[in-house]
Formats: sequence, structure tokens, C-alpha cells
Amino acid sequence: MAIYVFETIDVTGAGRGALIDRYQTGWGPHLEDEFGIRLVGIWATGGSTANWPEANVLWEMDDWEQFGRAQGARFPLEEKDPYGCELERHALALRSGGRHDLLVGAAFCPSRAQIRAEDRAGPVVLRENVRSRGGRFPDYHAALESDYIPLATSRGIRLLGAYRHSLRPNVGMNLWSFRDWAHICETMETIETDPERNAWTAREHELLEDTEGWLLATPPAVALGT
Amino acid sequence: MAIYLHEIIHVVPGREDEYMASVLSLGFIPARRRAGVKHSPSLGQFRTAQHSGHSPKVINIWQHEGWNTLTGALARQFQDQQRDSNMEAWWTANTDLRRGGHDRVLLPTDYTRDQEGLARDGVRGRVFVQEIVKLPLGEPPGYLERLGALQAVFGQLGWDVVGAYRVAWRPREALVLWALPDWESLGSLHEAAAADPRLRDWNDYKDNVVQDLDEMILLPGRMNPLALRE
Repeated sequence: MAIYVFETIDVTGAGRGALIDRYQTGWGPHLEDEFGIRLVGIWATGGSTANWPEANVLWEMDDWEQFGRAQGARFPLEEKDPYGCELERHALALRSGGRHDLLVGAAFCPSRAQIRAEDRAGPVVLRENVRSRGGRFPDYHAALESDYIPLATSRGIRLLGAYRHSLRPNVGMNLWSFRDWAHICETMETIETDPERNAWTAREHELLEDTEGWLLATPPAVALGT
Repeated sequence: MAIYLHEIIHVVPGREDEYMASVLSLGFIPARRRAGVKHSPSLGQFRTAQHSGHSPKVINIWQHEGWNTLTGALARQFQDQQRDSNMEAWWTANTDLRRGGHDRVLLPTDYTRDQEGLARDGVRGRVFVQEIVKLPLGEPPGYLERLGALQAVFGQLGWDVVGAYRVAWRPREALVLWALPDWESLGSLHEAAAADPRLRDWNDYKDNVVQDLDEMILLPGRMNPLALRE
């Protein structure tokens, strides 16, 4: 079972483009080359839908064994990773804080290799944070796999990730990829009149206590100015 | 159907007015206008009064024609071609006025009036109350329907519903904004609640279903079309 770290980063001022660039050109290659930690994706939070300015980063490791080996080789940074120290220092002016979530991929969660091979990653991603009713998280993931993924796929929405939190019971996260912004528009204009989608919503209400989502955007090639 | 972008902005203390003018200026930047960028109109702009939790905050509510204008604005921000570079320049030039914010996309109830309807009906206030309510999954439509049925009761006490909304992708949330003619009206609802059985029922229901409530008392910005002036 692959292990994931999802970083949600509070950005300072207009530093989001520069911070994202640091991840793409600095941390990404460094962590993969030195520690085998793979950068799955990096996104800017779509500001009209949640916190801003904010960035999101997803890392992948093979399993708990590789996770432990990589963390042990990296930390403490000050003793083991001089380039990591340099990257951290340069990022200080760009971010004010954030949180890391340690996640376990569902059996049906695509790996980075699969995402790339199947060209699953679109320019817009819906991030969903979910909390199941007590003890129902396995049922939720089973329903997601059997009921919702086929429905979403038929609407052009592709699964990028489905995870349970490793430390917090009944908590998880889903990532869904959209073709473009027009696809978001089309989805939201029809979502409440789609009977199959309404049936899934009713099923979610049986299994979940909470769900909230917002949009993430793949950063453009030229660094963001916001 | 109109939808609404609702922003809560953490403003640098003492710079609320400057920020509010600055954000409204986005709709008037000559280069953006010449480029044909359509800026959605402001439904209302507010700052928090000193009874609203963490301060200071500014609230912007923008009316969009529909999902197409909202997603169009996002696309211009995140794509390489036809990027809204003038907006980026504005953003960079005003980081001294704000620290960040939290936005929502609001979906109006049937009884919520758009900008034109609010102007036509003369809905305005000197004081506004905003409630962001967290309810059990599936409850917000029923909550908002019950609230809508009580509009006349609230109206008699000076509480006019500006809008009552669900929140896109946040199915446990509802957001309600009220306009009040004066500060005295703030207490009227609380004073009347004990005597009026309809308000008692409403409050009993709220006590049972509301799991979290973020209530803010707001003052209209200088250029807020909903502001009631002397």
C-alpha cells in the first residue's frame, strides 16, 4: 500500500508562483534523487473556492518501509540534508505555515506512474476532505470504488487519488481530475439534476458525517503572479 | 441562475477602507476593460464590527451570471494563454493591505433576490448580520426553507433577508445575510424570541441542528450599494 504526504501550504503575499517553482525545480528532483520520494503533483488552491493564497503538494512513497527509510535518511535536516536546509531557508519568506497529512492510498488509488501512463492529470482538481461515520470508512471506500468511480468516469471525471488518513480515524481525502475549467462549469450546472449523482449523494449521507471540497489548479508554465 | 463569490479577507489592521477601495478598483483598470475582461458586480462589501470574532475582516460578495463567468475568471488566472496579467499586477501591488482569505461559492435559495431585486425592493441596512452555519449532512436545504417561511416574522422586527444560500462543495454549510436598519434592531429579534411561538420553534430547531455557527456583525463599506445612509 503506497504512502502519501499531502502538504497544504499557507503562502505569504504574492509568493505562490515562486514557492511552486521551488517545489518543481528544487524539492521535487532533490527528494526523488536522494530519498526516492516522488512528487505526484503540485497545485494552487483555486482562490474563489477556499483559502488563499495557498499551495498543495502531494508526495508518494512505495510503502511504510520506504517511508521510514526515507525519513530516517532525511531528518534531522540540519545533520543529514544540507540542500534540504538551503531549500527550507529560501522558502521562509514565501510561506507562513501549513499542515502535512500522512495518508495511505486505497487499493484502487492510482500511483504516480499510473497517473502519468494514463494521462489522468487535468488542469483542475477537486479536493475533497471526508470524514465517515464512526467505523464506516472501509464501507465508504468500497462504495466509492463500486458506485462512484464508474459514475464519475462516465462524466469525464477521473480519480487522481483516494486516501485514508494514517493517524486520524474515519478521515480521508479524494482528488478528482477535470478536463478543463469548462468541464467544472458543465458539471456544476447539471449536478443537481443528475439522478445518478443524486443517488450517490444520498449514499454519501449514509456513510459520511462530513465532506467539503474545493478546487486546485495545476500551475501554468509561467509562474503565477497571485 | 446567478451564483455568488463570497470572500472573507484578513485585512491588515487599520487598512480596511483602503483595501475595499482597492478591490473595487479591479473593475476599472483601463487595460483590463480594454482587454474585454468583464468584472462581476459587487453585491455588497462590508467590514466586521467589533463583535465578530477575530478582526479585522472584510467581506466581498460578487454576483456572477452563472458558473461560466466564475470558471472563466479562474481560467484566466491559471492558464498560460490570455492570463489576466493586470489582475496579477494589482495583486502584487496590494499585498500590504491583506494577509489572505477564505472564499466560498454561494448557491441562492429560491427566495433570495439578486442585485436588481434587492435594489428594486429597497433592501438596505446600516448594520448587517452574517451567519455561516454548519449542519448535519443533508440538512441545509430544509434549514433554509424553514428560514424562508419566517421572512415576514423577521421582517417585522427589522431583519430583512439579503440572501440565504447553500455553499458549493460544502454540503453541511448554509450562509445567511441580513440587513438591519439600525443597531437597536439587533436586539429586537432576541427580545421577541421569548414571546413569539414561531421564533421559539425556530430557535428550538436551531438548537437541535446547528453544529457550528460563525456569526459576524458587519458594517457596510463606503461604496456598498446596500448601505442605508442618513
